[in-house]
Amino acid sequence: MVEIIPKQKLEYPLWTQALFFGSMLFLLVVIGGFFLTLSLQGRAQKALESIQGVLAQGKTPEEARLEQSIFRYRDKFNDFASLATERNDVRPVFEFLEAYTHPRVVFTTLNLEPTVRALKLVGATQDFRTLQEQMAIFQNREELGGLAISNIVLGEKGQVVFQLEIALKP
Amino acid sequence: MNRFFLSIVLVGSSLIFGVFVALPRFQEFSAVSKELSVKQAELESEDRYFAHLKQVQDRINAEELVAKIDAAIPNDPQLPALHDFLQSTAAGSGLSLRSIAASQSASGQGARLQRVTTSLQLGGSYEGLKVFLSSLLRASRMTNVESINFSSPQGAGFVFNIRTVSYSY
Repeated sequence: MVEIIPKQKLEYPLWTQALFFGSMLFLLVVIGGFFLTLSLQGRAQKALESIQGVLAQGKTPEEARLEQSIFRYRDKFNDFASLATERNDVRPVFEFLEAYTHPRVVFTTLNLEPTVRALKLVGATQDFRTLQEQMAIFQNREELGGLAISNIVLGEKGQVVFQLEIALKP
Repeated sequence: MNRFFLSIVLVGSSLIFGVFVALPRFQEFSAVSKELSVKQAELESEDRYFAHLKQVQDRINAEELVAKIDAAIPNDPQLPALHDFLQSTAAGSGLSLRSIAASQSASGQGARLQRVTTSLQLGGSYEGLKVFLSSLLRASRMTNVESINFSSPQGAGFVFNIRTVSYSY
């Protein structure tokens, strides 16, 4: 049947049209975001694999050598500092003996161990009185940390032979 | 179809796709991205570390004091050089070298520092001994005296028994 009177075209209200196009746009954004994420993830994955490969290789021989050399020097410097601090000068011991040995006392044997600050002397003198004077001289010295006399015997020519053990102060 | 209902279907589909497909994928990407940042930082830190070591090595090579420390504690025992040094030092002090024996040992477990203990027998004067001790202190190779032993001379001069310790790496 021919319609003589044309039907009026159906018009959607503005808000319905806005909702429709908005929902279309939303769908496009979601789908676009999905593919963008896929692409970015692919790139990130590749970069990660590449970095993991580099890290898994570890140090190169040159880097290992460099590191070993530095550590060696570090230990060497520490050892040197410690040895330099502990280094002992034995000359003051001789200077001390030269300065404070009684004129009538003769030391015949000397055994010095600077690392343990121990000095052993075997000496001889003419009489016990001189020996006592020698002991008094040493006992008054601050340089000594300890003094012990032993093995006092009379020698062949009537000399007094004795042994001294001296602990040296650092 | 009515555009209103079509809009609702589109929004619903978008939400379902977003929540069940896009969001998990985004979370995966986020995790990969985070791991990438961590690994990148690790790599950068390693690069910085070796660049720093290189700088330190350059400074060590340029430092004069390091050469002195290397001379004091050489990288190998250099026993012939040590013997020669002790002999020439003794001779320079007016002492004669009667005997020499050296032995090597580690200074401690796992330690790189090696001790070279040398037993010397020197003949000469008391003054010579003092010069010898002074020369040892001034020498470029670090040598410490561990013990000195001597008695009154019976004949021509003193005989000094000296034990020294030198070091190597």
